[in-house]
Formats: sequence, C-alpha cells, structure tokens
Amino acid sequence: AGAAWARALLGWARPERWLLSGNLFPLSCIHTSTSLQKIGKWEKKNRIVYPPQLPGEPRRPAEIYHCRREIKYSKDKMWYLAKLIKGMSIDQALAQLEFSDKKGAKVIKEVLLEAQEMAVRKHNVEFKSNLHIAESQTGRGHYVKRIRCHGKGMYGTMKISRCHYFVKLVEGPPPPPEPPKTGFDQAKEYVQQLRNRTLVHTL
Amino acid sequence: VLVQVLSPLPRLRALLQHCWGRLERGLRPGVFRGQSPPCEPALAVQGPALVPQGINGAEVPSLLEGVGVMWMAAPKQRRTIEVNRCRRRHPNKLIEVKRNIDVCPECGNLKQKHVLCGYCYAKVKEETRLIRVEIHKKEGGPFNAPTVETVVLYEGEKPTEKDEGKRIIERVRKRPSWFVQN
Repeated sequence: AGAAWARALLGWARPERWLLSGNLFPLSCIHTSTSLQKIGKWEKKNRIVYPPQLPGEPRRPAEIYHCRREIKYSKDKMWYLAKLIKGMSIDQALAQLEFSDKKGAKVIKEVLLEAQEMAVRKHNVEFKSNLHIAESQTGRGHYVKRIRCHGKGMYGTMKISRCHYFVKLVEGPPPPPEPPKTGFDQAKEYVQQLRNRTLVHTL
Repeated sequence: VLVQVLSPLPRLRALLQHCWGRLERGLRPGVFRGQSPPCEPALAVQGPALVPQGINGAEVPSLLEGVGVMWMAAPKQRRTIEVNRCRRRHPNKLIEVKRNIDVCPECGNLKQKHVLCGYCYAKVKEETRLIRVEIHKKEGGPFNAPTVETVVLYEGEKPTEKDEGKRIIERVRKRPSWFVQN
C-alpha cells in the first residue's frame, strides 16, 4: 500500500522531471540539491528527460542549457554581445567574441566553451561544431549600493551592477535568417486582414 | 475695506461676520493674560518678493556667478521605455559582425587579417625572453653589451665561417621550425 501511494504521488508529480536516470530508484531523487542554495530555473532545464521517441518520428535535436551567474558587468552592455551571437553557429560566435574588445566577450566565450564541452560529454552530441545558439539572454544580478565621492565634499550613491548570462545551444546547423519583409508581403497581409473581417453577434 | 460675504449658510455667515468684526476692532491685549499675544499680522501685503534672495541663497544667483543656473537644459518629460528601447536597440548601436577573421596557416588558430596571429606571436615572444635570459647570464650586468653582432645557436649547431667575430648565444633546445638559420 505504501509503494502504491508513493507511485501515485510520483505520477502526480510529473516523473519525467524527477528521474535523472532509469537505474536510480525514484524515491532517492527527491533531494537533488547539494546545498541549501536555490537552483535556478535555467539550470533545471537541463534535467528534463523526454520519453523515448517512436520509430517514425524525426530526431529531436539536443538542447543544452548553460548559464553563468553574478558576472561583474552591466546587463545592458552584455545584451549587445548576446544580441550579436544570437542565431549564429558556435564557431562563428567564438570567432566574433575572440576579437571583440568588450569585457563581457571573454566571459561569454568561456561560457560557450563550457557548454560545448558539456554537450559533447553529457548530452550525446556527436560533433562539437554542429551546434548553434538558439537563445542567448542576459538577466539582472544582485546590485550593491556604494558611496561615490565627488568634489567639494559632495557624495553620491553608485550602484555596482552584476548580471547573469543564459545560453541555449541546439544541435544542428543554424537556421537560415528570415528574409526582410517586402512591401508586397505587407500589402498581401493587409488585404488578407480585410478579407478576414466578419460580422459578429449576428445571425 | 468692507467685504460683504454672502454665503448660503447662515451660521457660516455669522461666524465670518464675527471674525471680521474682531479683525476690525483689533484684539485687546487684556483678553490673553498669562499667554503670549497671538501672532496675527495687522497688515498683510500680497505682492512680489521684496528681497531678491532665495531661501537657500543658491536659487537666484548674483550677476557675479553668471547666468547659467536658471537657464540650464533639463528634460521636460520622462522618456518612456519604448523610446529608450528604440534608441538603445538602433542598428548603429549594435555591435557589427566582423568579416575580417581568418585561420592562421601556421598554427590553425583564428587571426584577424591585418593583425599577427596571437598564438604565434606569443610563441615567438616566449622564445625571445629565454634568449634574453641567456644573454643576461653571459653579460652578467648592465652596460656590458658587446659591439659585435649576436648569433643564436641551438643544439648540435656549430658556428660557421660567417659567424667569425660575432657573439654566440647557446640555447639548450632543438631549433624551432620558424627560426630559420642563415
């Protein structure tokens, strides 16, 4: 009866999020965090396990989530680098970051190399160059206020900002860039919107 | 000055007339014994400031400080986040994609077209540092540089006829492929 209750509880608690590997007994996976610190949502995304694919389905590309927390850099300045490498292949992104003069470029390069190694070792990626960057985002870290001395005995408060950096690598070549919208496409959309109009609340 | 206050409420009207009567007659000092007299101004004038000085003294500058404080440019309205985003994400503010990155034919690392390869440069720099250590050991101090040329020889190399009068520096390693011997 106890085993049945535990199984029902786990069935309700979405077992695919808790099972790390099929060999471990399910109940031993409840205490997964090593310390009392909160594990971020981005790190937990690496833990989802999909059910095995059916023979006819197309192969699901591998997704690798990696992040670095509390980087000593501004989130707005880091955003420009994140925007630069969004949608590139990993080799091109590493090349661009190597010759960028920004401080965050070095950090992002380290993160990408770590993620690439993780992909090859743990996430069953065959070729380390066959990855592209699907998502790359920045987040605000903890800010700290400090006193900044001005002339004539005046003081101001300066804030020391930190940021997080999140990246999602997906196996496969990078998707082709979207062609820019022509005037003809916009006109077609407009005409379609006009044609979609109907009468509401009538017979 | 006689002010006629015609209010719809008779009580308010009576109160106002009573107050006005008091003001007209003036308060007798004998009413308040043992207390300080009330600080009512007998005459109040509404008009511009008689003394051209601010409360802090910094609002209205004198002519010596110059006319700069009252006429500084300041934003009138808060810039909305939409306007801020349009400015921050404009293409001229985004980082450009560099198209001048190639592969170094010597070591295979990435290099910019107009710049020396970083890895090869570091390699050469390290070897130069070791050669300079050998030179320092040979000279033994500052201001001992000889007036003849220097030749660097690696393992298994003998000085040729051309290196007759030159200073020879020995390096204990195989000759690197990029250091071509004359």
